[in-house]
Amino acid sequence: MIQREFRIFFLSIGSLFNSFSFFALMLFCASMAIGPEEAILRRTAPVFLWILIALTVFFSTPNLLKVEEQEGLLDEVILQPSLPCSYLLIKIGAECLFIGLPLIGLGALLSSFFALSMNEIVVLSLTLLIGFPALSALGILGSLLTLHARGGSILLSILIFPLSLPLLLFTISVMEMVRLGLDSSASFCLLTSTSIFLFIVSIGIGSWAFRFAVEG
Amino acid sequence: MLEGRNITYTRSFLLLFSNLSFLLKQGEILAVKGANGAGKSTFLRILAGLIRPLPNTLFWDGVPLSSENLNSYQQSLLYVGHKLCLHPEALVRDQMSIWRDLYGISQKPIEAALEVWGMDSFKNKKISHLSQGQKKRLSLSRCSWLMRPLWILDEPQAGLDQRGKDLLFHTISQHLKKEGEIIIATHEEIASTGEISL
Repeated sequence: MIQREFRIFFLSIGSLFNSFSFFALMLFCASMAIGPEEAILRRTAPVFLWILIALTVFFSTPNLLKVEEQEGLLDEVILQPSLPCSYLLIKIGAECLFIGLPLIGLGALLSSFFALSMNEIVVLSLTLLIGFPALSALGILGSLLTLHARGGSILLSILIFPLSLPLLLFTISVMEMVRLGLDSSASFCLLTSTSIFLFIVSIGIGSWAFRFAVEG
Repeated sequence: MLEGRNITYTRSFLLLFSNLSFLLKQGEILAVKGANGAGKSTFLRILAGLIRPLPNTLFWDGVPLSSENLNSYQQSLLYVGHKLCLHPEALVRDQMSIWRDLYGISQKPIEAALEVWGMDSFKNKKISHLSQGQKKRLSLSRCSWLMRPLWILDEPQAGLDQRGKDLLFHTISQHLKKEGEIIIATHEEIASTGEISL
């Protein structure tokens, strides 16, 4: 199942390139729009990066699942002995590898437009690495819930995006602590625990929603 | 042996079909017939467990199917529906690798089946570039290498040319000779041991 999912993701990498291009372009445009004020750029960098990554995930995941549903590939999963939650975990793993790592890498590269120091870039990338699995899990949950709905992607963003806000808030808290030279470990703990909580809840609800998505 | 007792299904508060019963033994073929929209595909999806059957309506070897044993029942069946389970972005050989990974089958039987179904010369072609009939042949080639006793086929001859249909019915007869069981939704006249009309 793992090999199957990774192979399927690898085949869809062409369609993901559009998402990566959109992400890079929007990040660049945002830095231009804010202007040359270093202080404002450094404060807004985590917000822009997180929101763009969340939107990229929430807009690309439904399309991937939609194709799989239309071609009967989700039926194939139901007919396998593995549990739906195993499938979801594998899907999230593949998404972290094929979408998460490139986005975080791209974000780290383009963070220079926001006048972030190397230390701030490393910390920001770390917050993204911690939070991305939860974002991915939320994205897949929302995709399953809106699979048969019209305008699924937009509905997904409206329903699921607010759930990802705690991750953004704790990331801002971490970055502020780092910027002020204070101890950020408490904020990191809160971010990690929130990420784990959202991940577990999304997998649980997603396993239940998976069958209903296939039954149609 | 698969037995159905009083299978009923309602969708959006509309009754699609009710009290359908059948008994399918080894070496038998059950034809499911009905007009477009009568619920044939839905019925087959229930039999495949893709739509959960109600308690005490489906029995496999005399044991009622429930959420506990549904997965093991599904390991005994091959379902070929309207959706062909082919990834559009894959090359044919990539699809073979996906099946090999998923079902734990070696490459040789899959390649041999592809040759039988006339798809071996298309290994480097993208699935989205195949014709509908070619995609159907590729999907149906699973009948030749996935050894499952029960086949559930939803209009398998749709989109096939005469040669493809002859190959399909030859494969079906071979499966029946090996004491396999088949449930087939079709509009065509076939020699079946039983029939359900929706």
